[in-house]
Amino acid sequence: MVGVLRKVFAYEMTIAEWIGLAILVNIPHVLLGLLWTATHPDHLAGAHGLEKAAALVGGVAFWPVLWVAAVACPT
Amino acid sequence: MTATRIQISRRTARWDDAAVHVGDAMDFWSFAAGAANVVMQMSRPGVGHGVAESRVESGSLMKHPWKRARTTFQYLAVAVFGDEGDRAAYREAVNGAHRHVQSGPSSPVRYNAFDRDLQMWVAACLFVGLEDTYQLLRGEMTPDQAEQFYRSARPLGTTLQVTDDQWPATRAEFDRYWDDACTQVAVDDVVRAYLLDLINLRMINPLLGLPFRPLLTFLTTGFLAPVFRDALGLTWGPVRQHLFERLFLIVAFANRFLPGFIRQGGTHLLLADVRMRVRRQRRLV
Repeated sequence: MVGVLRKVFAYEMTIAEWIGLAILVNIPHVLLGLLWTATHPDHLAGAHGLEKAAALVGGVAFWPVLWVAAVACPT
Repeated sequence: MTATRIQISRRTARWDDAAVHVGDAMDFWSFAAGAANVVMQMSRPGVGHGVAESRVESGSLMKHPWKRARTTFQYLAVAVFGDEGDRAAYREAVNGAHRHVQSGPSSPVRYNAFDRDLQMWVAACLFVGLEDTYQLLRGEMTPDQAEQFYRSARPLGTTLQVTDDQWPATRAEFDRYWDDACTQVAVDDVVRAYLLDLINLRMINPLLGLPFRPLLTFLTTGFLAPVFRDALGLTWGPVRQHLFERLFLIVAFANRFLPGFIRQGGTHLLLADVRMRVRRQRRLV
């Protein structure tokens, strides 16, 4: 067990591989974010231009927070 | 040389000059060259008829394609990443199957699966395939790196019956061996039909196979040097060559961003499966 842990901690990756890994592990998050944004049109309602783009990015990136907020404090 | 190896006019740049090893070629993209490698191996009549006429049904590519794929890739995993114990276990298992593979009275060519020259040819094809895919994914090697890469690939043959002195000592000697061996390439109707069935994925469920058929034909033809392409009667041209090179420039770029455990995880799982089978005394091939 300790041997396995040591092996994992000693594993070397290039910066490019770290970047690639970050992209890969974030794919599900981004997909769910797109789904959340698509199913919550009110999130983008009333926003225009740059504001709408920012709201879209915000929705995709921070959907868990927005979702919890919507559940915890319904307006 | 121009007819016996694929020619690539534009390759990805090298990103580092670290030591090279044949294991670096085992990124999963390399399996794109798998069918082409089978074609190369079977273009030698002794191998082609040995495989096409084989009575060892459990190892038949056409009857048990997934099992055959596993055992073939496991051989590569054992040869490239395995230790002496793994190699000995796999050698014994393959020998068991190979014992049944020898020409009969009605075979048009004489063959025997223990023939060291035929095994050397198969190992040489594996090396050529790995060197080609490595350079497409990681860029061209310097002569020193090519030598180092070549020396590390020796177990591809010596895991079975190829002897140490049979494997050409230097990379330059390998080129001479290869050019000479390619003069024995000859594909008759029996082997051609077998290979075309393979490229057309006739051995797997058509629902699964049909969508991949054009891609596999493209990749396979692209990975074949003119001598094999002509023997099989496959067409190729400058436009497709350009597309092939472009495709691998993109793949090579994406591949640099994939961590090793994703690029080679499959191969290491196959090796772990070999070790588990040995421990539990289950069949390897």
